[in-house]
Amino acid sequence: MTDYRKKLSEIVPSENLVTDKVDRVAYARDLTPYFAVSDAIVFPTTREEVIDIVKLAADENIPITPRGGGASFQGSSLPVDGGIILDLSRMDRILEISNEDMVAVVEPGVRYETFDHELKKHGLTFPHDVGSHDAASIGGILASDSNGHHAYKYGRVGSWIQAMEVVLADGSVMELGGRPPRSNMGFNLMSLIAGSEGTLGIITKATLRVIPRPPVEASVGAFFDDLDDLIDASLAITMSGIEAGTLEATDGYTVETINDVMDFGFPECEANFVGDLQGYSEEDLQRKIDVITSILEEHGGKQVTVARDDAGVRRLWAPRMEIDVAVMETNPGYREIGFAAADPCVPLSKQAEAMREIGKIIRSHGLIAAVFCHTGIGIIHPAVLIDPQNRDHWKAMKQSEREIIDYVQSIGGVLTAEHGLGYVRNPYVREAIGDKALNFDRKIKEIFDPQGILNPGKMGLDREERDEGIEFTFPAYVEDKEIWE
Amino acid sequence: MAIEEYEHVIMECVSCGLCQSNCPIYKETKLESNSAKGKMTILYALLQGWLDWDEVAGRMYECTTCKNCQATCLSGLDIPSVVEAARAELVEKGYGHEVSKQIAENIRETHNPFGENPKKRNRLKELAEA
Repeated sequence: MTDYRKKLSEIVPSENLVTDKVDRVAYARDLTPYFAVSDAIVFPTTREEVIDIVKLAADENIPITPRGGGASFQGSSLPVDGGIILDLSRMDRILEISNEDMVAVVEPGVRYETFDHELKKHGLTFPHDVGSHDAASIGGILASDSNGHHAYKYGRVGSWIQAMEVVLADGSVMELGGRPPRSNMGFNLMSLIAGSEGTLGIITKATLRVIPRPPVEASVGAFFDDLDDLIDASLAITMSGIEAGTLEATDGYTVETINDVMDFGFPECEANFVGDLQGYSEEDLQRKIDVITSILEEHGGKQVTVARDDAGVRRLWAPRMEIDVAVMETNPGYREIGFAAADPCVPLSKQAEAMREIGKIIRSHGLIAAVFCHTGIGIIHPAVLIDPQNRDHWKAMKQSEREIIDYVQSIGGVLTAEHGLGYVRNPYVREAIGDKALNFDRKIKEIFDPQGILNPGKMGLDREERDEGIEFTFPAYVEDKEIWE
Repeated sequence: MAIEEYEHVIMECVSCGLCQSNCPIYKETKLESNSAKGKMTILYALLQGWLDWDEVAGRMYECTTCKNCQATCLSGLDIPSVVEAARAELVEKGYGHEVSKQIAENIRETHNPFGENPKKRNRLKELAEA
């Protein structure tokens, strides 16, 4: 045991410090191609332990990577420089749920669905419907300023934080916000911490705004011969003011593949629409259903279907949710990889064009692509499935990534709107946000973390490359320098 | 079946973590190496030669093979079959679990996994009826 690991053992009980190689390996991977092994995983259970661990890391100049559920898609919680993984999953208490103040106070390790299930008992919800479900921790969600499936209706998570307790890189504690629903007192540091991916501080407690839980819900699906008609319908739904939870599109390849594997009898189409609706009464929900189904039919939607039971809802959402399973069934050994073009965002008027073009780019390189779009908010998700033992696939994926990012930026879109920058996007940060903004970001990082110990290697803050000084999960992986230099 | 034959399943795990919440062991320990996701990473490292069989043995036995992970898996992967294949190979390599050895011994000697007298089998039924 190295000297600092011995000191860690003096801060937390032995069961909350993990140093065995087999366990450190289990924490070395996420959805990205990288394999980063830490020296130790430490599980604080109190704010005081977090403070002591951070102070030790500062004294010893050891990198410290905060981790919640480890569900990052861009390498945000990988310990790319080794050091300590600060696993907050055992700080998982829901400290308070208040119907009177419409807030919940939670520790960072609380899982999303566990939290929402507890809120349900109080007639409340934290309504974002985070896609990683219980794999995602509240701390990770806040640090990533996540969207969730219902971002169309409720926005990003960051604006739902009313108060926050943050342990800074020197071990001091910063309290932000409070119990009142609104405050306007200078710079909004909570917004800075939300989305900072653990590079500025470690969230040890948060007070979150919650809302009454809609008691009834439904999903609505339809198929379109022309993707432009789907996008027009989506805009018309938005303009109707019915406030759907989410509006989604998947491409024709996805529908066809799901049909082949699951035999749902979907019609041939260019695109599939699916959305969900929440209501505070049956009448409220029915009114929304009537509006949305009329709009879908008026815009040429086929097989317009409403589902409220589990089986019906699953069928409607299958193209969106089960495509990975379907592709793996027909292509054993293939898997999705978290790549830098996983969640660009384009102007609403460019969605149809961008979905087609992004799919075309990926397929032109011989790869399997299933393209989705959150049509209410312009975020496009190209799921690329590759054989990770095939070098040509890795090369094609990187070429696709570059071309997609160039294309998206050429039509006024942005690099990412959901998963954050993490490690995977280091090479793209400067061009995406510009020299001026990146310099400001780095100055902010310097103020918060002058030693650079908090989650190093992320967001372009201390490097603009990836693939350097890191191991790869797959031997066939093709490094950037092999393609671009 | 050798673990190599399950390499494609191990490859297909995308480390999304949806398996964690349903795993009775993970829920108790909050340790990634107890989740299906962690086990697939460990076995991948084993196949790559980054870990040895003796290093992975302990964690492979910490699984109930209840299939809860398969029920929530984004990719529908049959993780318990992979774990069982790993265990079979562990036994072949001399890393069988002490408890399993004892159960096998009990079955051989008494025809009962707990080493109890088979004649007692109906005792609980009789107690319940009483």
